[in-house]
Order: sequence, then C-alpha cells, then structure tokens
Amino acid sequence: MTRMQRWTAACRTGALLGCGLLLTLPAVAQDLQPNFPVELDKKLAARASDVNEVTMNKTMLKFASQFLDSKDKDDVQAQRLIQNLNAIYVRSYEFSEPGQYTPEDLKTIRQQFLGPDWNPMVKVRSKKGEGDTDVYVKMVGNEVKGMFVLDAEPKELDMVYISGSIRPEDLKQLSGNFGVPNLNLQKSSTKESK
Amino acid sequence: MVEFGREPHDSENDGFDPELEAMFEQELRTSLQARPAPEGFVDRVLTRMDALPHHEPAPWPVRTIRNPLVRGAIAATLLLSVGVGGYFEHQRERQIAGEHARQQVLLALRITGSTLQDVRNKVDGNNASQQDAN
Repeated sequence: MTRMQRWTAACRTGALLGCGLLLTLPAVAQDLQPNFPVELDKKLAARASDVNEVTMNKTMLKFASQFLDSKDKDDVQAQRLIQNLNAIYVRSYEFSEPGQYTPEDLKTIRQQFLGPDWNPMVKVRSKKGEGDTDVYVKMVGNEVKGMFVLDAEPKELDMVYISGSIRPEDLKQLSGNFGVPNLNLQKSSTKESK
Repeated sequence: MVEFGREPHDSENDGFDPELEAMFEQELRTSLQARPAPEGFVDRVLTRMDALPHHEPAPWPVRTIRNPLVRGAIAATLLLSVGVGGYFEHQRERQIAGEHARQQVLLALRITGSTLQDVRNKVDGNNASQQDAN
C-alpha cells in the first residue's frame, strides 16, 4: 500500500468516524440537556422564597450510585431506581405569596413535552392556572423512556423530569421511601382527569 | 648554523651546529643537577603546615546527607509522601463529592415522590368532586 493510499484510507476512516459522532451527538445531547427552559428557571428562582434544584446527568447518577449505602433501605431503593436512568432534573419553588408565576410560564414549560413521543397521562386544570397538574410520559415502543411531572400550587411550583427507562413499579417504590407516604401509584397512573 | 634559504636537511651534518649543541647540553646538565635544599627549608615547611587550619571530618548528618544512596532515599521518600498525600486528598474530595451526589439523588427522589403524591391527591380530589356532582 503506497503512502497516498494509506493517507486516503486514514482520511476516509476519520470522515466516517466524524459523521458517526455527529449523528449520535443529538441523541446524547437530548439526554444531557435539561428540558426546563433555563431563562424561566432563573426567573422563577429569583421570585421564589425557597428553591430546590437538582440536576443530575447519567455520569453524576453513576457517580452517586457508588456512594449509596447498601445497608440503608432508602439507598437500596434509590440504587434500583436510578440504575436505568439517564438524567433527573428536579425544580421545586416555594413562593411567599401567590401569583409569582403566570399561566404563560406553565404553557412555556408544557410546550417542551408536546413532541410525538410524549403522551399526557394526567391533566388537571384550575380556573386561575394555579392548581394545574400535568404528567407526561415518553413512550418509545412499549417502553416508558421518560416522565415529566408539573405540579402547580398557588404558592408552590414543582417540576420533575426523569429521562430513562422507568417501570411503574419503580414509581411505586418511591412511595413509602424517602419520607414519602404510600402512593398506590399503579392505580392512579391509569386515571386521567381534566 | 642554518643558512637562510637552505633546508636544514640539506646540510652535511643534518643542520645541527655542534657548538650550539654542546652548549645546550651543558646548560641542560647544569639545570638538572641535584642541589641540596637550603638550610631549614624542611623545618619551615613543616612549621607552616602545622600553622594551617586543621581539616576536621564533617559531622555525621552532613556526611550522611552527602551519601548518594541516602540522597536518593530521601528524594524517593519525599516523592512517595507527596504521592500518597495527593492520593488521600483526592480520595477525601471524592468522598465529599460522592456524599453530596448521594444527597442530591435522595433529595430528587424525595421531591419526585412528594410531587407524585400531590398529583395523586389532586386526581383523587377531582374524581371525588366529579362523582359528587353526578
């Protein structure tokens, strides 16, 4: 093989690898990107009296799983829950008075889950938009690959986005653990309210 | 004598002047002749040597440090100490970061659980009010 041929082969391999990387990048970025509008995040955080923000990508989840205690009940459940997840993004804002977010803010958040893969599972609407609740589930084939929960109260706004494989029994595990009372979620997941 | 313009080897006696050669040999002999040292020279030298500061052997720590093997061992120990210290510091920082990440996961799951609980309460409440209306 001449030097020219080797150089051509190397260039071709490099180009193929580059194309492959470019093709896989959006898929990777989708899991790494939080689905919350960043600007709105900042705005809400500035208005809130109490903010809880948790952003964990797959790497962080994997890292955290190494430090979960195998003897602790909550840690064991957490380990089981996060092992198939790609990311968890949690935003919880508590406000000192009502009216700190608008129905338009909620609309902006919901718009991100209007894609073909996302299915609204629970939808509760109040007249003033201060008691709205949404649960969206991302279905890929027959598998749940993501979940988004929006719970709006007059003085509280909670958003949870979970990316990755979620089983109904995983959600059930959340109840009765981590200081959360029993949910009996398998029953509620089939209900839809408007 | 070597004449100007003539090669020394061209001469009959190889270019050497016998007179000059004899004079040179005489001078060399005189110069190399053994001569006795001046009187008291040895004593003077010995006296001056005694007057010079006496070189004492270096103290043991200095002598030990000068030893290349000891120097190598010290350098290796220092390197090892830095390495081990760095490793433990890294482990400590990793442990702190890991504990923080663990707390974050538990907090995220706690909020998720309580949010889902709120959702369930709302759905149940909504269903109950609809049933009452019917």
